[in-house]
Amino acid sequence: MRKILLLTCVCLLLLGSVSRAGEKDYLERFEDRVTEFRLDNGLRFLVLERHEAPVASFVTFVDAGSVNEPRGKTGVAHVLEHMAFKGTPDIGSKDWESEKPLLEEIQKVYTRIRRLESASDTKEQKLRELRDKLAALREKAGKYVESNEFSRIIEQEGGVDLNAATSPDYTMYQCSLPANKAELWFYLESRRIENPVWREFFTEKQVVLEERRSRVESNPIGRMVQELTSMAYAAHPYGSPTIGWTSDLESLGPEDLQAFHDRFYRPSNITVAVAGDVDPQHIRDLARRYFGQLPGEGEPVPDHVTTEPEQEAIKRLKQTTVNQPAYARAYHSVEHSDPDAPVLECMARILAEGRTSRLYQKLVQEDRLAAQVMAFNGYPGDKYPSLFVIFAVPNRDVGLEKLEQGIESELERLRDKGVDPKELDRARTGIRAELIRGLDSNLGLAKSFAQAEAQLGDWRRVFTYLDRVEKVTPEQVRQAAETYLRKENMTVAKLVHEDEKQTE
Amino acid sequence: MRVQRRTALHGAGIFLLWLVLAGLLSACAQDVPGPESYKDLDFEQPVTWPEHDVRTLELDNGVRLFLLENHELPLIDMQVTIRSGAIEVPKGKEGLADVAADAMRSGGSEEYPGRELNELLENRAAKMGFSFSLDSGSASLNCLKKDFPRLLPVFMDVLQNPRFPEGKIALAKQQLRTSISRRNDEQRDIALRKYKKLIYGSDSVYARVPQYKTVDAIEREDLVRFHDEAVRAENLYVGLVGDFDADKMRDRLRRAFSGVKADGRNELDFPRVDYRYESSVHLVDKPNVNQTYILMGHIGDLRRNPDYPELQVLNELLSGGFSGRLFQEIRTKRGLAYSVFGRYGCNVDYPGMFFVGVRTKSETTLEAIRAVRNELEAIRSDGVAPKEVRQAKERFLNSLVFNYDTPAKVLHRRMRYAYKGMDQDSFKELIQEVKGVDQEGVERVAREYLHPEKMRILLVGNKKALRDELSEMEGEVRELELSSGEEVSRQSGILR
Repeated sequence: MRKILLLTCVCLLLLGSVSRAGEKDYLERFEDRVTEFRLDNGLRFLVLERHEAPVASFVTFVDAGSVNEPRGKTGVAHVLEHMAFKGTPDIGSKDWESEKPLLEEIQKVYTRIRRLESASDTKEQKLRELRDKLAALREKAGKYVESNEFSRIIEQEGGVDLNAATSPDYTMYQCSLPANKAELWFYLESRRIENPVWREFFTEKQVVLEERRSRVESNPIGRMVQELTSMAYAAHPYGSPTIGWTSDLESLGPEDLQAFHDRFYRPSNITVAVAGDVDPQHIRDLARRYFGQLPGEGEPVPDHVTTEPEQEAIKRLKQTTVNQPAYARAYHSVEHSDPDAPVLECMARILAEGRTSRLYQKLVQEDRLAAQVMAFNGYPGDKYPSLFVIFAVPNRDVGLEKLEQGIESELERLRDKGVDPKELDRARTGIRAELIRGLDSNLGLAKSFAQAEAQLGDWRRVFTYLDRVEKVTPEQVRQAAETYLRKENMTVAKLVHEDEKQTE
Repeated sequence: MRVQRRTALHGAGIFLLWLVLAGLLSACAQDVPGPESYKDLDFEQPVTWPEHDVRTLELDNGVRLFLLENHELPLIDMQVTIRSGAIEVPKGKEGLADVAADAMRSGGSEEYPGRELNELLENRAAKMGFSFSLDSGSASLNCLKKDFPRLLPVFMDVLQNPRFPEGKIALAKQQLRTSISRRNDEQRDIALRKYKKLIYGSDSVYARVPQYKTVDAIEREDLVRFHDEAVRAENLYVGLVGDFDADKMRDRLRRAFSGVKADGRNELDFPRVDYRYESSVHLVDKPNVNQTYILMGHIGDLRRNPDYPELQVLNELLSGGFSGRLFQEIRTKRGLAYSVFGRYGCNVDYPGMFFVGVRTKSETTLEAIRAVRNELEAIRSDGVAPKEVRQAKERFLNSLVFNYDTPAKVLHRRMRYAYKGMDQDSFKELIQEVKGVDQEGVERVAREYLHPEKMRILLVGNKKALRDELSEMEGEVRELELSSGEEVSRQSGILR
């Protein structure tokens, strides 16, 4: 109870427009409830006590995503994330001694198929034989599989929120359990992180290809966003879709997963956050018992990630579709740790967040050109210099050119005249309130703390970000508009209805 | 709990573990090995959750209040459920409820017209919203505790005295027309909309949607009447959760709501559904896609059905999480889909739907349909294993705590039951009933309620790519035409 009251006080401080110095105070008190420690092998833990209900959420944050994929292997981070639900030698197998050699054999046969396929003189007959062999082996191996045992155990013990996500920057696994079952999570998670098994791999690739069809190929907006992103980035891997290019996915083999796993799923690259009704000492003991044995030797040489060269001219893209039109533009901007990141977030809010925002008032309410308009910074990730995106849906019978002019004239006003201090205040208040509203969820807290700790080195950055927001000035916003919202820095995507081909 | 201490050795391990848990051995924790199997883990006693004390009060004019304190964050959330909904909208004016909700918020009241209202709210990072579903309305305010006294009168004024200016009505109508023009863009939107028509009938109140001409027909006086019938004291269920003192808040709300106009209880009329079980296949052509969105099933039933607990276990067993049979068979074993889902739906006021949904590439459409049908037939003919029933029940029962882990969930469940005229202990009763469900009961409801041989199947996909698949389909494939805003149905023999 005491802690609840403290939290209330600090939130009042945090939100009170009078006492903006309150953030530090707030942080100090929040620290009472956060315990951090690091195992000898380098794995970091955050424990956040929240005793409101007898439940807890668990997040494993792997500091590697699709930007870390080797050339020709797009999608491997995400496929690995799927495969992490397939279990381990002792979970998901009816008889590991029999299953193991089959999985090894499958991998060998697949490597031979790949070799033959890429040979200059493809031997069709041999290839067919090998494919038949692969199919037979897969069927045989399948008989030893206890499908979905990993998930079944968690769900049967009352687990919810069981899921995972892959982004360009990271891979994150999550679940919530009744708090008395924390040890079950430690048991299962430590095993699958250390020793995942690539069983049912070829079937799961089909599942991922179906996911790709749903998200991209059969979804015009998805296709448009993919094209926009890959056109905006000429060199940086943010230009490759996290879900992967189809031919890369089709050629992926178990050894690609293993290589990615060996390189990035090492303790020093992982942060675990536990939030809820738990005792930090108990969690520390469990952490050591279950994750302590993960081998932690050798820091990997950090990946070199290609720096995106400065864009020299406007890039334009037009896709025709049987669907309704849409419009997007993207400007190269900055990574989250850059001083301009909070400036750009304020700018995005002033432009398009809520009914008082400029683009909403002008395009939606006054001129009625758009049904919807959005602006945000930090796409597709925010660890590396990202994109500032404006997305708009035109009203029926409104041409995209008119919509584009409407957007452009608002941006021009921003560049020329800057923003009103009142607008900036509103944006800041909105950012603070959003943070507060997120504080009542174990899962939300665990995710944002783990991410800040892993990517920025400190969970406190979740809160100290507000200091950075507080310091933003109207002049900085105007300057940022001038610096980033330039046409040579811009990629435009138009989705045009096929009947409008001529007029557009 | 499922605990098996198989050997004495494991027993000793658990004793050591207990010492560790008690904090006695933490210094050498790393030396204590974990158990050999997760089955050896012991979970102390099952968790219990605190009983949240929802304060309720009915005002003289009929407004019902539901209050629950939660002091974790300095926020107050108010949700007003309104006995109204799109079901009240006269035929020919479809879309009226959406336009009304939209114009209430964007137009504001005389005292707080749109622009002022927006600034008043957004300067304080407060949120106010109105919406109507088929069978209820909702008005909400979420703000900082300190702003609540200032914003409550604003909320009350907009709720009771919306201005409905013509300009904002025109804007709301235009936005609705835009959304009509876009509703055939995504396979999912088409499938869900069309499937309701297949189950409830294309003119059914449960399946109707706005068309351009019904939007055109909406007049300001329709909105005024719709609002006036809805916002009456007897129709309001006011729920607050957050950082307040319940006694003081009760008095404050009493003052605010006792002036709401009374004498106008809205009785919602839920017409009967005449459903005929039959098998049929329907196609909506969607060029430029390489997947088919499949929905297959038939009518469902009512919440008050005495077999409801058995049906919930059946749902869990068929399609619960990552463990259900459909996920297992369609996704994990066959790799046919990323997304597979389904449920036997039971609504309170009118029958729900039973459906299974799969998104699969065009070439495996038929395989997916057959695989789903086989699963449903197998559950009827071969029955279920006792272990499966136990696991499904455990999934439900062990995760119950997540129905109570935030005060907001407790409050909103309580309000929903009150609104629907259900006993406030309905959920507790359901838990008891589910505990008693056995293998025989699940098999019985599977045989009684699932009709895999008489399903209506809807395919939203690429007709050209589906040609081969369709030609192997048993029975006639009826094509449903899509034209935004106007929808007609015609039969097509081309595909056979």
